[in-house]
Amino acid sequence: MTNPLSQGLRIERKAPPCVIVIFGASGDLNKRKLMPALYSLYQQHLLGSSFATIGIGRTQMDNEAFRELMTAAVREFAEGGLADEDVWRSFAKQLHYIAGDPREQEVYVRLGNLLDELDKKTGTAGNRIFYLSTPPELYTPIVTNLGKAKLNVSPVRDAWVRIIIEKPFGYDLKSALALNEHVGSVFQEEQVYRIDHYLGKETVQNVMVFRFANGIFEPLWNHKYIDHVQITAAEAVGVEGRAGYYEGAGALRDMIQNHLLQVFSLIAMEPPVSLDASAIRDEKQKVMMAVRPIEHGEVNAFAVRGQYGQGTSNGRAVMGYREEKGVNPQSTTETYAMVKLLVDNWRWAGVPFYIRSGKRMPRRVSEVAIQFKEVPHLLFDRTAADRIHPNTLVMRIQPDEGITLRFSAKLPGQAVHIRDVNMDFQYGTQFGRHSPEAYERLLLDCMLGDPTLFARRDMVEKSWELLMPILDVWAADKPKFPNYEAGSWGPAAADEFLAKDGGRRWRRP
Amino acid sequence: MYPFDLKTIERHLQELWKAQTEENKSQVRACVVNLLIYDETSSSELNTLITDIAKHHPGRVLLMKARPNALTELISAEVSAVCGVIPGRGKQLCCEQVTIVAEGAAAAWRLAATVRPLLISDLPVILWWRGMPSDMQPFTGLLDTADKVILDTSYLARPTAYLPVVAELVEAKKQVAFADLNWSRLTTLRSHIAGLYDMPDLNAYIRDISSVRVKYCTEAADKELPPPQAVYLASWLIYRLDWDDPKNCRSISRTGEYALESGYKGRPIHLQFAPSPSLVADDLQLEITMAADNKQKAHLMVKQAYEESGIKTKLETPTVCWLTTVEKHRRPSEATLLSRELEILGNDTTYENVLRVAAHLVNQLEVT
Repeated sequence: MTNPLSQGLRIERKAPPCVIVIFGASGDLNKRKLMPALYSLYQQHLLGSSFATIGIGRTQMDNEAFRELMTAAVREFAEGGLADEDVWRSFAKQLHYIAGDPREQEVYVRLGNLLDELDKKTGTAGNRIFYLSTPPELYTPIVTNLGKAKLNVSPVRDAWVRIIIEKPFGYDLKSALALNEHVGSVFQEEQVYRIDHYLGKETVQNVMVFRFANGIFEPLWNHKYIDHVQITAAEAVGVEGRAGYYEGAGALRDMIQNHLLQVFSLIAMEPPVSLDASAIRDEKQKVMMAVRPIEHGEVNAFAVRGQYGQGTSNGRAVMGYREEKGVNPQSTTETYAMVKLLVDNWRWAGVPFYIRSGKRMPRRVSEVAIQFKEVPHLLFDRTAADRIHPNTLVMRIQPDEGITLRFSAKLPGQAVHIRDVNMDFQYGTQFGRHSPEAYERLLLDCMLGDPTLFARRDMVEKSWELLMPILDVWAADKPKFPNYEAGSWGPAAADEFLAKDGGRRWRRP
Repeated sequence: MYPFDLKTIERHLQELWKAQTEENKSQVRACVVNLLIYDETSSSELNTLITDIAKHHPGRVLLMKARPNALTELISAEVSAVCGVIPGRGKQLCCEQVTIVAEGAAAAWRLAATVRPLLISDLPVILWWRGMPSDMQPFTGLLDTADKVILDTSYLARPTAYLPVVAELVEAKKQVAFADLNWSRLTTLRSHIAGLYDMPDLNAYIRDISSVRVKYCTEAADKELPPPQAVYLASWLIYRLDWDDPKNCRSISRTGEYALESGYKGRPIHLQFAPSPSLVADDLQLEITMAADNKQKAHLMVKQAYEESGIKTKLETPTVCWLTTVEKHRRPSEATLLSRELEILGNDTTYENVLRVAAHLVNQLEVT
């Protein structure tokens, strides 16, 4: 029966009764992100009183020990720490733990019993979310076991069961297809939520609002006015103890295949017919289908890779990638990748999208820069005193989330001299309100059954398909690494690439 | 303070920002709203409150202080910056405040026209009225300027009795959005109750409610009537669940207990308001009984007691055992409530409809 009391509440997005089951509960992701996000939702009264969390992990501990572990984690990693001990105690009462190997079927018997008990005692209503916060090799056994234990469907009528899968969604197209196939054999696609935390960021969500709630930009959003688009995700850090994972991944897999292609699709897609999740995801997929495939023989005309050597970061000397702990001294893993995408449709014909991501760059910054075309004829004399660039619209994803529009203005004085000036909008200052952490947003979306900000199966597969030729060619070829200095904006080859491609330059974000 | 002069104020505003920028490069100036505050309370906490709000909603604050009983006739003004540190950014976020003091009845009368030229164009105008609204200037003049009016019936001597007046005002000024902080104070409690009815066991009873009792503190502000929050809570249930307008109000005890009759599709629903000595300040307790011909009875009790445990819930249905949940819940500060109101610029149709029901309820209670 519908609940009229839920309508018109000012807390518009409160989660329904449910249990979240976190596999890999003693791991880093749970401690740093998931538990602080759940606690934050609870503090904001966005989780009902009929909510519970079950952690599953191989570490032997009981409920109390798990609560203590989570207390320490939230104290350390939540933005405001525990903030209010009473509120935390109230939340922690509903933390439960099952110690066991998720590859063992017996764990799922205990899990099933606990879920039933919580439905009765806490009123969680048979609604369940399984969160796979484990190494990817455990995805298959966990999904299999959930299916065998019949936990992929709820015992309660009209209740729901959902599964959240963390990236990487496969290592390449073949493994992504296999993973999707396996997950799809146990769960329906509408039950599957592939989480990409980039999509939970406020600025990424604002791309749609910016494009489709403002009448002045959309008419310019095409090949007639836009020269090119630069999408950048730069990190100042190196591999930071993740060498084991990163050696097998590299920048293309780690950032571009998922996060940046998602951002690209939001920038390039057509207006959806509605805000319905399917409508939005259909448009994103349509633009992915319009990306010109890169043939194996033309990879060098579409992509550049790099690896950092020694250099300077944050004012101190830092080692090169190959000297990092856990990295093969002869490693050919790219720590920088740049890809040029062309979209073969009416809107974007001839407009290149340059997408780059790198580690050990001068600063941490993620942004989308829309570079408009130059004026058709410059009326004003260009003297040494002038500095004229085409208009640029920059959407900063992190840090200092906001939007900047660069345009030219006259310098005060008798002569006509021109300067570029920035019109700045910053989330942090215009709206003093705290932006929710990406995981808060995404966890709540999953509880509410809104998959808009999650990656759909076809999009994941298409993004792998687009990048496979680059990965194949790079795997077969031995690059001359290192080729950029830590603390620089990447290899010279990337600058040369843009210079040759229409005399363009990378922005210095 | 100096005698009000528009040019002087505008010059001072310009000088203020020039000086601020020269002194401190880490300051950011922002403006997203015109916030008009009319204050009759002379509260010393108001400045702290404005700083708190400005951090979240930077804008131009026009603080109007009326002293209609003063012997002199003078409008004076001063300009100041309101700055607060942006959390996690180390930068100061600054906005501007113009304080306008109107001394004497005639000066107070002219307040609306006085502040009008100081509004920043194209930004929403929010009026926070800290006092008793009336059908006279400056309220009427400011009402014509405002996109949203925020009231707080807790400032009034007889807040519940005033709800029908607010309802008439809302009805007459459809183009203006209205809010009452006393309604906003119920947001968490309402959300909690609504969340309980998402549980299948309780959801099955949502159309079987047979009686509702709202308990409140014996020392409530409006001695002769239940406090506004109690009336709002009952009215919300009536409106949302589409019950009939309550009637047959009767006083059932000398301690201010009232009973009324409502109904849903011919089935009677009993409403009661009862003061309770175990509740303090703005604590509330809602007791709901649910019964249908083919079902066992179910009971729900939700108690909001800030100083005790927050929100306490007891639920009994044939399928769910007794369930006692304590959810920590702090009394929201005035700054928090106001901040939330500044986020909602459009009409809150739920509030408007609940207020209409509340006005009807109060009229019933007053006749008794």
